Amino acid sequence: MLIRKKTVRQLKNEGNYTAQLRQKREIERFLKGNYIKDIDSFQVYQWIERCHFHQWWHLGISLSGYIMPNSLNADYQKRLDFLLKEFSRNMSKNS
Amino acid sequence: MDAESQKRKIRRFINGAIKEGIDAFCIYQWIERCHFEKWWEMGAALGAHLQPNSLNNDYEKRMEFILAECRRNHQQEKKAQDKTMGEMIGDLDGVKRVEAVQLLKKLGIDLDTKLKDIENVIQGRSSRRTSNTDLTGKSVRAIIVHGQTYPARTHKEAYLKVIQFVFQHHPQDKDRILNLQGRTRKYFSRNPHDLTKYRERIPDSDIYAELNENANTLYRRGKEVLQLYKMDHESFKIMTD
Repeated sequence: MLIRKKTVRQLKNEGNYTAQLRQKREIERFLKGNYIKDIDSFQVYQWIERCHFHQWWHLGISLSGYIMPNSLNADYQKRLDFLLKEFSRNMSKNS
Repeated sequence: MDAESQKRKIRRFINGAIKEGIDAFCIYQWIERCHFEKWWEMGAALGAHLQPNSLNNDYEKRMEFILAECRRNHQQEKKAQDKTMGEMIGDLDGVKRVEAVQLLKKLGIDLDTKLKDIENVIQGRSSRRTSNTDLTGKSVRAIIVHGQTYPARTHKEAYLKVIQFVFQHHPQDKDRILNLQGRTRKYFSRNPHDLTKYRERIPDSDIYAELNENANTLYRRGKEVLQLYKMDHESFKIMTD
């Protein structure tokens, strides 16, 4: 059965057009390989942070593989390493 | 989303074009992007849109640090841009300074001209120079006519400087300016009583100019004077803050 993508208006009517849910949908689409917009490493880093903020540990872990090495500067790389450690820690805690 | 599309989105948000679907974390992410890409001005501007205590403690702390960096760098950038050419070449030693002064003179750049104005001219940016923008309430720094920059502090001074510039190029034909007049009013006259009490004598001439006009009218009339003398009126720009 063909599942049609919901329109922005439908999402707004349902109260699901929030930044949080919109970004979650984007991340999920990206991980499925259905995201057609251009993405740079920093955007993936931003998504990882969003996952950390909302405690979407599994999504964050999945995203980590998409950041190319040395694509961020030293400060942001450090921060990313910290976030990834947090993800692993929380995942192991939950499992 | 890549850097450029995010930049456009941030700009639209700062300009008030995006109002829905943005949460505090979104703004935090944008501030981080600005910090990463060194868009200090936008980063500092985004800080004003963030409500206090809208993020958790860790993120709040990080955001404050990033925001402080953006603000500090923005201030530094602004300071560097506000440096005049005189201040910049003041740091050079003897011979180099003389050479720089001569070069600036050749290029028609005044020592009071700010670095940002020169960069704007080089990049052909019109945002800071006025073309179709409203000049009311803006403080004047300089004027550009035929590629030459002259310092001016007020719109009246800018207007008189343009006329002075025209007279320097047409010293024998100063009277032509008297033809420029309104339906009932005179804009220029040899007799000061033909004009209001806000008249002023044009330097190096015996002609008075009517100055009881707003900034936009004075700018437009300056252009008309250039047109009257068949000079390039498009080159006349006023640099504002």
